[in-house]
Amino acid sequence: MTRVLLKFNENQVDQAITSQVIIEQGIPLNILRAHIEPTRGEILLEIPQDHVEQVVEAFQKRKVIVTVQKQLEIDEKKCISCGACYSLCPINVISFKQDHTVNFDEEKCISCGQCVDACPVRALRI
Amino acid sequence: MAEKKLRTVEEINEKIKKGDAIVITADEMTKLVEEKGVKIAAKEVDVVTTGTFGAMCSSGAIINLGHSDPPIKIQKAWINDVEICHPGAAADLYIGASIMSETRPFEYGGGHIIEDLIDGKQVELRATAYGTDCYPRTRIDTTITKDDLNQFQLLNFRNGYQRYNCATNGRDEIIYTYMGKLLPNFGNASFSGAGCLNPLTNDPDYETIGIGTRIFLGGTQGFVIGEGTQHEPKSQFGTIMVRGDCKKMTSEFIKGASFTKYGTTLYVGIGIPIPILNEGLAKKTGISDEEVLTNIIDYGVPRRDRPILRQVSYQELKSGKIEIGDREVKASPLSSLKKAKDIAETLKMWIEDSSFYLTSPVERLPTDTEFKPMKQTKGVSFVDTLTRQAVTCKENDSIKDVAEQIISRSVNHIIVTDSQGKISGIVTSWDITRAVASGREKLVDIITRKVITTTPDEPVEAAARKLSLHNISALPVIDSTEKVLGIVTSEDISKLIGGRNAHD
Ligand code: SF4
Ligand code: SF4
Repeated sequence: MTRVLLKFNENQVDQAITSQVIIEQGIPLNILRAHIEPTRGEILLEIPQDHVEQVVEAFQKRKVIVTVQKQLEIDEKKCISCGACYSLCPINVISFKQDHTVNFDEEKCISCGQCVDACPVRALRI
Repeated sequence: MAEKKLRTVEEINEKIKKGDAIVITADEMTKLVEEKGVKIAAKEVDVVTTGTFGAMCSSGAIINLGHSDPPIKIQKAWINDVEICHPGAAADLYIGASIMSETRPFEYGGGHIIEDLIDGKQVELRATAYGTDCYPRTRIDTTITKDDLNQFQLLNFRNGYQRYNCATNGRDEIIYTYMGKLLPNFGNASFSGAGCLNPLTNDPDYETIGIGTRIFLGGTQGFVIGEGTQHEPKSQFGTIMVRGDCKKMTSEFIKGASFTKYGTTLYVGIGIPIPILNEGLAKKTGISDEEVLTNIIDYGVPRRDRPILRQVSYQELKSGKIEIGDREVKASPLSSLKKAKDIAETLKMWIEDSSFYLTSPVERLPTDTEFKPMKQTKGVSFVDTLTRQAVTCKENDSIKDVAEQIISRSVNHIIVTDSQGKISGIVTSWDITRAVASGREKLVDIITRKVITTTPDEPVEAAARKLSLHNISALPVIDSTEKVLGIVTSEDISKLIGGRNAHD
């Protein structure tokens, strides 16, 4: 799965662009996060690996700005398992193992970035 | 304490020498006491080991550089652009963990230097002096590693808090504190300390801890050298002052750290062995997370005495979720529970290996000292003393009317209110100038809706910080119903507290 961020402008927010692309391409797209305002909108999408190119093109054809989303990088050598990041995650990506080691369920991460500047040893990057 | 002695420190050391001492970690002791009771636990166990690994800002290291040729009596010094304090004679320096780099503030600081040196890394030293007949040199630039130093001693004024607050944030914005990043509207919480593993928590009356107590410090053996600053035994906020040889430490247990928008610090690993000299100590070391209590505090209130929301146990905190009001929020441990346990285990191993012997304190930590607030010669000033009458307008007023008000009342800010006098926006003279220049006529088009406000009971210093953070020059003063009471300006604030927060 590849994550991409779609940016919609004022004229695009009220159109069903994402649905159009799904129907046209016949590819299931997973919406991880959506933030729509009257004048702009953002959607974080997950695209199956084999279809990234064609889906991105389909959005670009409709003048949507597409950026391939950077994934959260965890430097496990630096991490001290302090847990400072844990309470900032809006979904349950970060948890503790039995021995209190901090564990990241990276599959679930929506790259929101909330945890990054909470890490006191700068072990997280987006 | 006239408690019956079960064993002495000397007897325990004899057993350690033979490899016979029974040592368990504090969390194991909790289980043992639960299962078999205090009496049996006291009989079976010789030593209980504790551990904590948390951010401890009042930490630092003394270094001695030796003399340069020609010699220098250092007046000011920097290592890797972090200003180093020069507390003593010519070549003694103190690296304070919380001093930040002048070129990379908030990212690199004294704590990182200590970690880098422990790691064997080379750092850059720069120093200046005024020059004397015996120390003629006025400048030096060189590089050093820990091997070049005569002494490199961790010397921490305040470590190992017996317990600490749990922090949350009632404001409607994210705040960055020494307790980490706190989400708005009580959106999360953070706590420090390792609960039932915490050193002082296991000997709350300091029966076995004091000057000369040998401890685990940063991966090697160090010592308690007395009570820490702000030691407050009566409310179970005891602290210790510690010293240890950095040259023998490892960065696994000493880590430089950065708290975003707060500053740099040092994570310090400390473990104290508690000899079970009597049944009372078995009971005390048998303490469970459920019994270690602390308060949830609203760090959104920028005052010395912050509101306490409620009491909470470490059991609840360590579960990762706590209740605040009618909501469940996540709670971050800021200190590593993983490393706390590693430390207690390592200390246990050292004692079992006969490589660590216990000491009786030369003098116990005091149990009766008080922690006083700062003496201030001037009282706190609040916003109400600076509040002026605000010039207000209504949304359907014309830009021309507002412009006239600005001129006739010679103000820069007009607060927009609704029919009940509640704040609905703000307009500045700059907004008006721009509107006129671009030919706009309707006021509603230029009103700023998201207004940063203050209240009459906010300290002036806190209001000043809002002005500087948001780069604005006035704050409407409102009451709890959002009714406009007046306005404070940066001009009046800087007149009161000095120009450092002045913005235009
Ligand atoms: S980036 Fe956001 S979603 Fe991903 S782990 Fe961090 S806080 Fe959670
Ligand atoms: S805040 Fe950083 S060091 Fe702490 S657990 Fe998270 S990633 Fe690890």
